[in-house]
Amino acid sequence: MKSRFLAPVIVGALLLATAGAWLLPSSPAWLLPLWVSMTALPALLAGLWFWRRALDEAELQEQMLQLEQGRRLTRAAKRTAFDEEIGRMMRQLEALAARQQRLLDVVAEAREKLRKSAVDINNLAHQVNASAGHISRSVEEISRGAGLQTELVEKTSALFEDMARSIQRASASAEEAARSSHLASQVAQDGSRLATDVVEEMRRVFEGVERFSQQVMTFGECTQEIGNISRVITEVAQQTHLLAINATIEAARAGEAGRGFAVVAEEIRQLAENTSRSADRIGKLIEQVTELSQEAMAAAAESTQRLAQGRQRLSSIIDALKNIVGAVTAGAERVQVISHLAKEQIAGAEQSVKAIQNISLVARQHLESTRAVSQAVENQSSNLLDATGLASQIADLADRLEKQLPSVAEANHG
Amino acid sequence: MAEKPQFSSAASPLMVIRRGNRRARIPIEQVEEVFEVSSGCSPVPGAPAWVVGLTSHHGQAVLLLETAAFLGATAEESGRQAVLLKLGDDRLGLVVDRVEAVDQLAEDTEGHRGAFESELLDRNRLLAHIEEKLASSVDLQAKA
Repeated sequence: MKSRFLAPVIVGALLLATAGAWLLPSSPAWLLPLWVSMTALPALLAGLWFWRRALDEAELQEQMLQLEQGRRLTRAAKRTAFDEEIGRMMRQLEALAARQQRLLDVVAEAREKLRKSAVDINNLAHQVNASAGHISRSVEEISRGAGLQTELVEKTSALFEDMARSIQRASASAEEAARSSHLASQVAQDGSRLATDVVEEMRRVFEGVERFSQQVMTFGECTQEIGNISRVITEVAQQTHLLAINATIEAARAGEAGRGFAVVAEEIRQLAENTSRSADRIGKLIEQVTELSQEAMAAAAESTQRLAQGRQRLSSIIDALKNIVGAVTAGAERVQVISHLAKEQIAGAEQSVKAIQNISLVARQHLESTRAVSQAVENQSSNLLDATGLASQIADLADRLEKQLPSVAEANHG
Repeated sequence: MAEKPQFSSAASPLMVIRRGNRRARIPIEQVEEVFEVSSGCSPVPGAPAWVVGLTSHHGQAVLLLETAAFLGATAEESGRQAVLLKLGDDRLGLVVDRVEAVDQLAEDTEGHRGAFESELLDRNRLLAHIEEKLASSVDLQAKA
C-alpha cells in the first residue's frame, strides 16, 4: 500500500530533480538550499498528501470491504479526511455503517424472534399436530358414532314406523272392538230384557205349576178318600156276599120253604159279588189314579223344584247379564278411550317419525359435517406439516442468520 | 137278574170254594156257616202245619184247618174265609180263599170247573184226609 503512496512522491521528486538538474548548473549556490527547499518540501508535502489520501482510501476500501462482507465496521469512521471527497464518502460510510448496525441489530432481533417463532411454531405445530391427531381420532370416533347414530336413528325410525303401523292396526282393532263391544252391550241388554221376560214367564209358569201341583194334591186326597170309600164298599160287599152265602145255606137247610129266600140270597150274593168286583176295579183304578197322581205330584214337585232352580239360575243369569252389560259397557267405554288414546298415539307416533326423520337428516348432515371436519383436520394436519416444514425453514434461516451474525460480532469484538 | 139256584130234592146243593189254585165242592147241608177269619187266629203249639189254629166264633172255639193241605193246592196267602163244617157235635173250620158259588148243579157246571180241578170235599172225605194226615204225622213222630 505504501508503494502506491510513494509513487506520487517519487514522481514529484523526479520532477523536482529534473527541474533542478536543468536549472542548477546555471544558478547560484544559494539557489541550492532554496531549490532543495522548494522542491523537496513540495515533494514532501505532495508525498504526505498522497500518503494521507492513500491511507484514507485504504481505510475507505477496508470499511467498504467489511461492509461488502457484511461485517461490522472495525472502527468508527474518521470524522475528517484529508480529501474532502473521501471525507464525504467516509461520512456516508459511517452513516451507512450506522444503518448497517441498526439493520444488523434488527436482523439479530429478527433472527432471535425467528428462532423463537420457529421453535414456537415447531412446538405449536407439534402440539397442533398432536391435537389434530386427537381431533382426527375424535372426529373418526364421532364419525363412527355419527354413522352408528345414523344407523340407529334409521332403525329407530323404522321401528317407529312399524310401531305407528302397529298402533294404527291397534287403533283399528280398538275401534272394531268398540263397535263389537257396543253390539255386545246391546245384545247383552236385549238378553237381559229377554231373560227378565223369561223370568216373568217362568214365574207365571211356576205359579201355574204350583196351582197344578196343589190341584193334583187335592185330586190325590180326593182319590184317597174315594179309595177309602171303595174299600168300605168292598168290605160291605164282601160282608154282604158272606151274608148272602150264609143266607143261601140257611135257605138250603130250610128245604122247600127256603127256596124263595135262597133266590133272594143268591141275588144279594151276586149283587155283592158285582159290587165287590166293581169296588175292586174302582180300587185298582184308584190305585192307578193314586199312583198317577203321586207321579204327577212328584213330577210337579220336581218341576217346581226345577223351576225354582231355573228361576234362581235365571236370576243369576240376569245378574250375570247385568254384570256383563255393565262390564261390556265399561269395556266399550274403555275401548273407546283406548281408541282415542291410540289415535293420539298415532299422531304422536307420526310426529315421532317426523322427528326421527329430522334427527336422521340431522344425523346424516352431522355425519357429513363430521366427515368434512375430518377432511379439514386432515388438511389442517397436512398444512401443519407444511407449517412444520416452514418452521424448519425459518429455523434454518435463523441458523443461517446466526451463522452470518457472529462474524459481525466477532468483527465488533475484534 | 140272577138265575134261580137249582136245588133238587134228590141231591144236596153244593158250595164251591176255592183255595189257591184248586177248587172243591162241599155239600151245603154239611156247612153251618161261612165267616171271616180276619178277626184273628191263635196257632196251636205242636200242631201240624195243616192246623191253622184256634179262633173264636160266636163265643165258641173253632179249630181251623188248611184246606190246601187236603186239596194239594198251592196257596201263597192265608185264607180269608172259613167254612164252618158240622161233624156231629163238633165243628171244624176249613180255611178257604172265598166261596165262589152255592149251586146244586155246581158239580156239573163247566164254568165252575174251569181251569181248576174240582174235588168233592164232603165230611167223609175230609175225615179220611184228616186220618191220613194224622197217621202220617204219627209215622213221622214214630220214625223220629
